[in-house]
Order: sequence, then C-alpha cells, then structure tokens
Amino acid sequence: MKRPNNQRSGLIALLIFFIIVASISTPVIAQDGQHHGEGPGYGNDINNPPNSESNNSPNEPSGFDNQHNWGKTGENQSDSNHEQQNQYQKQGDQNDKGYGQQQKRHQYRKMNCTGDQKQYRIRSQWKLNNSTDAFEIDFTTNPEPSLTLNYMPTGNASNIQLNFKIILKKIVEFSDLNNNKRYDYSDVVVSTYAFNLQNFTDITYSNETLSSGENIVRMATKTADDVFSIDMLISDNFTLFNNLLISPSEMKIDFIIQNYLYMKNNTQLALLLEVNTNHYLTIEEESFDEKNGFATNETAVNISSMHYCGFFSWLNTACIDGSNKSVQASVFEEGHLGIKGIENVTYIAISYPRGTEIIHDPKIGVVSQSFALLSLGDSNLINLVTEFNVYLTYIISCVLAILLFLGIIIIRKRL
Amino acid sequence: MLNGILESAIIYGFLTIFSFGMWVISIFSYQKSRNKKILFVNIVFLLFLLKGVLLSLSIFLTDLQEFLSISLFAVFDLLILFLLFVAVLKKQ
Repeated sequence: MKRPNNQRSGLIALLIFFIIVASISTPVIAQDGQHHGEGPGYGNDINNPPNSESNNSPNEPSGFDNQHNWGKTGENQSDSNHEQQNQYQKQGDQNDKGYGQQQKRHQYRKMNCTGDQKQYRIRSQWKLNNSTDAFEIDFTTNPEPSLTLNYMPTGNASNIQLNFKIILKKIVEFSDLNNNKRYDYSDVVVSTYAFNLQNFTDITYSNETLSSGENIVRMATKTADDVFSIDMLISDNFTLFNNLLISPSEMKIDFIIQNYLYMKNNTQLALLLEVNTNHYLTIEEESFDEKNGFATNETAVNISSMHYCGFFSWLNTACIDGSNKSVQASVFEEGHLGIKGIENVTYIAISYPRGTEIIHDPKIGVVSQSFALLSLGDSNLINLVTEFNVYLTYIISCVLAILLFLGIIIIRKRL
Repeated sequence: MLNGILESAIIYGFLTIFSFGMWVISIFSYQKSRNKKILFVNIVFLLFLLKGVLLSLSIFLTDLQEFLSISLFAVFDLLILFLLFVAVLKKQ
C-alpha cells in the first residue's frame, strides 16, 4: 500500500518542481528584455551614426607579498621592438581590413560625455537588435588622477556588474639594487613624486571624426610643472589611430613623464598605480587584445566578476627619449588598515629605463559581450546568440539531465 | 552575458536536475528505512538543489549576481560537509 503512495507523491513533487521552474523562468526572460536600452543618457551626445556628418568641437610600499614580475630583461631592445612595432602595425592594418563594414557597424558604440575641468565621465553603449551593454569611465584629477570603470551588461546604469578603479599614486625614483630593472621591495627609493601633492591643469576635452568615419574623444591633463601628462583617447568603433588599432570597448591612455628631476645618477623611474576592486584580479602575460589579434606584446591585469571581465593592459615597451625600450612591471599586495580591518590593496609598479622623456601606452577596458558576436558577423546569426539562447541551452540541459537521470535509474532497476 | 555563460547554463542545469532527483530518491529512501543517516543525506541533496536553483537564477537575473558571492557558496559547501560528516559518524 505504501509504495504506490510514494510513487504518486514523487510524481506530484516532480510536477510541482516543473511548475515552479516554468513560472520562475518566464517572467525572468521578460524582465531581462525590459532592461534593454534603459541607459540614463548623460547629455552632450557627441556621437553620430558612423556615416553621418561630424561635429568637432602614499606610503612607501612595504611588506610586499604575492609579487609578480614580467617583461624582458635587457636594457635596450630597440631593434626587436621596432620590428615588433612594424609587425603590430601590419597586424593592425590586417585587422582593420578584416572587419568589414557590416561587422564594424555591429561594434559601433554610442558615446556620451559629461564633466567639468576636474572630472569627466564617458559612457559608451553598444546596442544590436535585442542585445545591449554599456560601460562608463570616470576620470578625475582630484585628489589624484584616477580612472573608474563600470560595466553594465544590460545597459542599465543601476545594474553595474563589474567595477574597478585605477589610481595613479606617484612616480618613484629608485636604485635598482638587485639589478632586475624593476621596482621591488629590495630596491632603495631615492625620491618620489606624489600625485596627490601636485596641481593638475583643467582637463581638456575634444571630439573629432576621423576620415574613416569613426568618432574619437580625447581628454588630457598634466601637472602644473609639466613633469607628468596623461592623454586619453576612446573611439566609437575599431579604428587605426597613429598606427594603433583601438577597440571601441577600451580607452587608450598615454602616460608621459618629462624632465623628471633625478636626484642621483644610475637610478630609474617607476609609476605606481593602485587597483581598487572587489572582484578577482589576475595577471596575464597575454592581454585580451592580443588574444583577439588587436595588439601584440602586451601585459594585462584582468579584473573578473562571475560572468564579466575588465582589464588594465600596457605595452611591454615604452618610448624612452625617442627609442623603444622594454618596461618591467611588478604587481604586489600590501595590507592597509581600512574600515573593515586590514584590507589588501593591489599595486602595479611599471618601471621604465632611465630617460628624459618617457611615453607609455596603457589601456583600460572591458570584454564587451559584443565581442562574442564579432566573429559571427551576420545579424541573423547574431540573433541566435542572445539571452534566449542561454535560456534554451538551460532548458535543453535540464531535459538531458532528466533523461540521463531516469536512464540511470531504469538501468539500475533492470540489473 | 555570453562570457562562458552557455557552459554555466549546461552545468547549472545538470546540477539542479541531479540534485533534485537525488533529493526525491533520498526522501523515499528515508520513508522506507527511517534511517537518520539518510535524513542528513537528504538535507545535503536539498542544499545542492538550493545551490543549483540559485546558480540557475543567477544566469537570468543579473541583479541576483550581486548577492551570490563565492563566500556564500563556500558556506553552502561547509554546511554540506558538516552534514555529511554527521551522517558518516552518526550511529544507527
């Protein structure tokens, strides 16, 4: 008598489960769809469609741990670097040609920019059929230069899924005691140039349309004594700018150090950056751009949440007094007393060979979901890879799992 | 959204269905045997089911992802481990 009752209750439980799953899943999909294109819009729309007319308009690091170092050894590798640059340029050309007009249209992002002399925010939104995403980069010079990146996979400003901040702390002049060409715990600090003690000029902002049709936004600022300058550039689509391929989901940055007052001979400089994030941080010797053929010879710090990824990457070479030389980077963690007790703060130290003028090109950006669709290149195919596809995959997986589970039970009963 | 999410959808689907199936089987098994060990195992499968449902929902409800951290799932794992520990050590 008991066995049929158990079987009946089992069937009822199974039925209830499927009703719950069905009732939960349907509004979930509907809700997700409602978010599309809900970005707040920050005014000052500097964009036009691609073919339209344009408008111009702290403390010293101590107790390092978890240290990672990269970069080539050897002081002057200008020949090989020139070669790399040429290869890079060729690759850039190929990539640019590789993206047809239709594919470039699929990557087009709408940019908005707002701000004042001390702070600027750029919002870049991608939308194609039912898919959308957006990221915002806030740049401020108060109290020290910092770049904050927020990624919103639904385009909705209230739904930030990835967030990190890069703070420029200081320039360090150091004696490389262990002769590894990079700034680390065993080196002696000779002098520092803390950015929070410097006056930065008002941020200059401009936007222009290139002959190839892409809109670019440029921002720049420098210290009052001209020692340190930051130039930033972001585009609304893939574009070749000064022979560099720039992806629309990233901002290219130039750090320029000029006429630094060295206190000693045989010292070199390092730029110390702080990374603030609650997400996972990993160091990659190959950046996202490299993996996708957009760049070569880069190193990156990737910041990943459960499903999304952002990066701060930099070229392994810098222009030192007109010639390309390799840079060395170290990443280390340091314990600081914070609100929640001892908090680990991650620092990146980019060490440059000694020189009067140092120009280095890092990038900050996100892995936009638009890249997952990039290789498809056909709008009909792109439609297939949407949230609905994820939903469908999940349902198919559940059905397969049920069949497999029941199959195992049946086989077990027969044996 | 598509950064490895299709793979996650497959894994979460299997996790949810298998844990649900095992939970149902363990209920029947407990009703049949009244063995307290199986009761703990039953709760273990229920926790796996809950974890599977939360992970599955996180694919579609992006807002939920803010609340689902590795620490939360580590708590789930700890509870599961503790219950299995009790189930193994418990006398008949």
